[in-house]
Amino acid sequence: MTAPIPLLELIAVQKQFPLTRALGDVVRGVRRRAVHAVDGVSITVGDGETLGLIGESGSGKTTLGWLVSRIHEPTGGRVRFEGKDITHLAGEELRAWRRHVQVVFQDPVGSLDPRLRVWQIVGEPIRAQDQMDRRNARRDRRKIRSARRKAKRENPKRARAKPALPPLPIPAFPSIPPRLTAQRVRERVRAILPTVELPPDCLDQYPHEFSGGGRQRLSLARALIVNPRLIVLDEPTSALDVAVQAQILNRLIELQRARGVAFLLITHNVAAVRFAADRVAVMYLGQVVEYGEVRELLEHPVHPYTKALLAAVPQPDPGRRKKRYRIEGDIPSLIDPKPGCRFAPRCPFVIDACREKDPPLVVHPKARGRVVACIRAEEVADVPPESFLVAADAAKPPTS
Amino acid sequence: MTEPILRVENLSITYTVGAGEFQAVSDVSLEIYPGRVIGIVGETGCGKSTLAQAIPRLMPEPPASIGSGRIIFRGTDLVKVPKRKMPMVRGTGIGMIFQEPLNSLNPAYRVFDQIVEAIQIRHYREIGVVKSFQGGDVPFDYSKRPTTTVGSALTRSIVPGGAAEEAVKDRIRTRSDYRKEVLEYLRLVRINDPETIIDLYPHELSGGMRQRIMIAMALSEKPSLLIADEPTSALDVTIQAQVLTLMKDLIDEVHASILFISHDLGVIAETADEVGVMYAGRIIEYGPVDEVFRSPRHPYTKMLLAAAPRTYKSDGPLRSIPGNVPNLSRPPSGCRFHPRCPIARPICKGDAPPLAPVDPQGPDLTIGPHRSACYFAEEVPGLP
Amino acid sequence: MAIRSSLGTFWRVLRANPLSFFGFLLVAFICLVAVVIVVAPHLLVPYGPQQETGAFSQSPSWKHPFGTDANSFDIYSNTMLALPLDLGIGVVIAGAALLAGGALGLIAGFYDRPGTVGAAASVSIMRITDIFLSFPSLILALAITRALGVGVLPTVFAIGLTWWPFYVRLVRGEVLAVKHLPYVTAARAAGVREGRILLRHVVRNLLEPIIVYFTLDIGTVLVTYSTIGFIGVASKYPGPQPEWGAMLAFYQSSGSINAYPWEVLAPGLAIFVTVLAFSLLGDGLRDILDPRTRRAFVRGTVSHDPPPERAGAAPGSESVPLTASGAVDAGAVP
Repeated sequence: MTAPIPLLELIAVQKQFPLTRALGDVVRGVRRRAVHAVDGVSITVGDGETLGLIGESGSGKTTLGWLVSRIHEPTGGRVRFEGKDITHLAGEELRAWRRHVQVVFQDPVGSLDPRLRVWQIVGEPIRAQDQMDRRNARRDRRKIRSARRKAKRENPKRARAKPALPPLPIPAFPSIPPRLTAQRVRERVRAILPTVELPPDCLDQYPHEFSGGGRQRLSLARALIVNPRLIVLDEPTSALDVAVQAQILNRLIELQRARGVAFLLITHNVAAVRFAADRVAVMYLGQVVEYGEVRELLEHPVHPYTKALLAAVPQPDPGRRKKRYRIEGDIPSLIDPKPGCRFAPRCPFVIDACREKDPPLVVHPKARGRVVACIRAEEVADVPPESFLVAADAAKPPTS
Repeated sequence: MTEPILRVENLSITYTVGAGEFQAVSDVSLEIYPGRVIGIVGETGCGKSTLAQAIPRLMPEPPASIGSGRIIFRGTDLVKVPKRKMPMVRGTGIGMIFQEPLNSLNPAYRVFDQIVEAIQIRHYREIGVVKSFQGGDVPFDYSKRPTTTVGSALTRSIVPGGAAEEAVKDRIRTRSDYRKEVLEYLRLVRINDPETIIDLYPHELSGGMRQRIMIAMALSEKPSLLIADEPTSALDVTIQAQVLTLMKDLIDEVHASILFISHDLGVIAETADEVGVMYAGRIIEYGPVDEVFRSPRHPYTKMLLAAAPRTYKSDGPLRSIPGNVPNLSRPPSGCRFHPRCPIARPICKGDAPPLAPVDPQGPDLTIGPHRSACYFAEEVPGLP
Repeated sequence: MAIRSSLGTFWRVLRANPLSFFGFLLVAFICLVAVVIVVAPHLLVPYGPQQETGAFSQSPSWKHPFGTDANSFDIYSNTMLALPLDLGIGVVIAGAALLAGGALGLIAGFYDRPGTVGAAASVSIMRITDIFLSFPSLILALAITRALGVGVLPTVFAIGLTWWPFYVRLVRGEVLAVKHLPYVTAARAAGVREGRILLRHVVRNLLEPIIVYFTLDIGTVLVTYSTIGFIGVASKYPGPQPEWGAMLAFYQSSGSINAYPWEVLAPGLAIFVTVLAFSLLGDGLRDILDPRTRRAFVRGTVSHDPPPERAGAAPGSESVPLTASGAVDAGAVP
């Protein structure tokens, strides 16, 4: 037996957004520049597990989520879903595949059409799937009908010439499924609402009548209603308060246990990933810098960026109050990035070799199942994240 | 003991929307002493932003209106100051830093023009072209606290008396004078390469940089009170850490008091000296940040702290707070937390519990004792 | 059930907004009068368009509410008889422009993926629109009328021909604003077909600004037609079918405005009232069509208990009520 096929597999996936050139550049023949939003990411998501994707803005995590859910088409690499290549799926095939992967968007206000009622919003995916099923059934019937006609035309001929050849089997004539009525959609929506802890009698309300948490539950219900294998959760709790976030995260985990759905949890919130994920990939400027089992990775981070990120998360622990954060500099631009480690300009452990070529993602010897993209991984592995904070009196304000 | 810079007494603010009416802030009292950082933490809709906007009277009136209470800033009751005189207070007295640095900066102006506007206004006030806010009966004594590093510009006008004389000398300032001063402020907020940044437009700057510009703008008017409303909530974690570090450094350097509003318990824990926890328009717990976060004495604070995830999936579900934040147009009677509270008794539905010291025998700390608005505050440490 | 409840909401919002309620009543009244004049003119109009009353240049009286002119025609009757024509012109021109321009605008806004037929069509539509927009529409309409000949139909055709580009611009702009909103992406991710997205999510969210603009536009068309009528190329007055612009032109140019000011009063007032009514109605519709503002008006009058989740929806948002706060992270998509 070979290793089981993962639910989702990304192999060196890339996405570039070309920029429009200024007229002067076109005249001078300057090459068209591009935003390298995702630059060679390889990850897998197993059946029923949660992969957390942590990153700051500009890390490409949202773009990656859109590539997985095929809202964008990758410009390089491969995306496989249950072993099937879906990288360049299009048209009807793509729409049919969508029932397996659903998305919960980061903006609970904007991702719900303000003019539709709850049952229309949540029922939208099943309506779309229903239309597609009916269209496909009609198409199949047409095909079979013409195949039968052809067989009838050819049969007498064939019977005379070569009776030994059996006729090709013609599949059973499919019936067109009955049209999904509004009543039926409402029933399905009414049935799904309790799973996200919404009252089933809110079918006729508008999204603006819900609080942020309620809207995010609606988004979740919309994703769950077609029973997908994978849900891409794009910052599902970023706009929510801590108490509501706790409710939603608990709910997500219960749903996963009950339905075996896999999650790709995309967020900048380390605490949410810690609580909800099985494995974590840390992204920085379009690349995965570190990838491994959640507890292991968060407790013993190896890559300097992971350490810097963990040190930066404010803790409700007043003991840390007098500490200063040491990492300087902004997140650089994604437009035609220079070769070399993307974190090099901000990294305190940078050496010249870091700037020469992209560090490869290699298995880290000291931690089980961990891959790290740092050429000094073994040397910096034991530096604690706290060293990115310094005591107040030791910190000298940089004066120019 | 010195006088507080700001004293909010029993402030209530009501919003009228359509046919409905709700009290966003109810009976809030607060004191801010010079050089201290007061944190206000709470969930969406708890009234913390309304409180922040009410102090410099920035909230839209109507629909908002101050029902009762006083806002005494340096001896003057701001509730009674006519609206047209408020800009005077806002500039030199109270500075504001907002959450969305992109919306708060004018996209049509370069960094220089953004900051110089504030400096100019202050300059005109110093030389008496524009009237300046004098405060009330209690003159604020800046001389007791030493000014450091930032240079002459900052020290000069802070000292009353000396300010006017000096300022008159350079009554006419050239553009290059202003440019120098703007650069000084950019350096103050630790902007590398200020000579380049000064000529850029807001959209050319990163989020962290924009927030630094906002801070520089607020500081350039030399306020004695800075109100920061979720100043780092729109920033990335590593950038937030940088800005928080900057703010912590500046607290020591410019000696303004800060009212720091945030929904993030971690941010408050790292910046504030004292913290007020707001729930449904009321401050339900108040005290030194160490004490409130280490041993909360209100069930809500305790549960809020527990709801922040710090465990892993395999460790079992998070402790969330059952139910929802109450609708403020129909708030629950008595203690507003009682419908969600695990230790609620019948008495909690009666009168609202006062914000009382949790340990009446304890030492009266200079920054005020730990207070909780719960009848059963002594039971809270025993909660799971 | 749904229809009755939305009618109820319609009434409640209208009642809460006295000015637009007035506009609504006025428009309803004007339409009713127009219908009556077409069906049974004798009920409201005592004289025919060119009927001589025998009273020459009389000032307003009970018998002749707006007086009579030098031909002894009753001005009130002529003004009323012009109403169906002027109203019809406004609705027909604005409606035709809405349908034609709106459809083109939808195409131009929605289909813009480079290299497709749709994108090519979009570009051509927009360039043609630009060409039309770069002419002053009134002068263009005048020129076309001149070329086609004097009369009501040529004028309607001419104005219609210059009117649709505004709707292309408006609709395209709205489509561009709506089509990148997260819920459109969400629908696409759910597997909804493009055509359905266009109708269900894009068009539905355009209706409000478009209908409001359309309502206001009826007034503008009326004024434009009257202007052309005033210049004297649209209709002849006095004639069998009076028209307000032509009436104004005739009485103004007959040089008796100082002696008989009431002659211009009636057509002028008619244009003013009609345009005002549609403006007020347009403003009211803006509130009615948006479910978010709708709620602000009916809150407190609806008496069913909200489910627990929606607590704090409106009052909950902090600083400014009724606006929702956005997400914290702006995301990575450039």
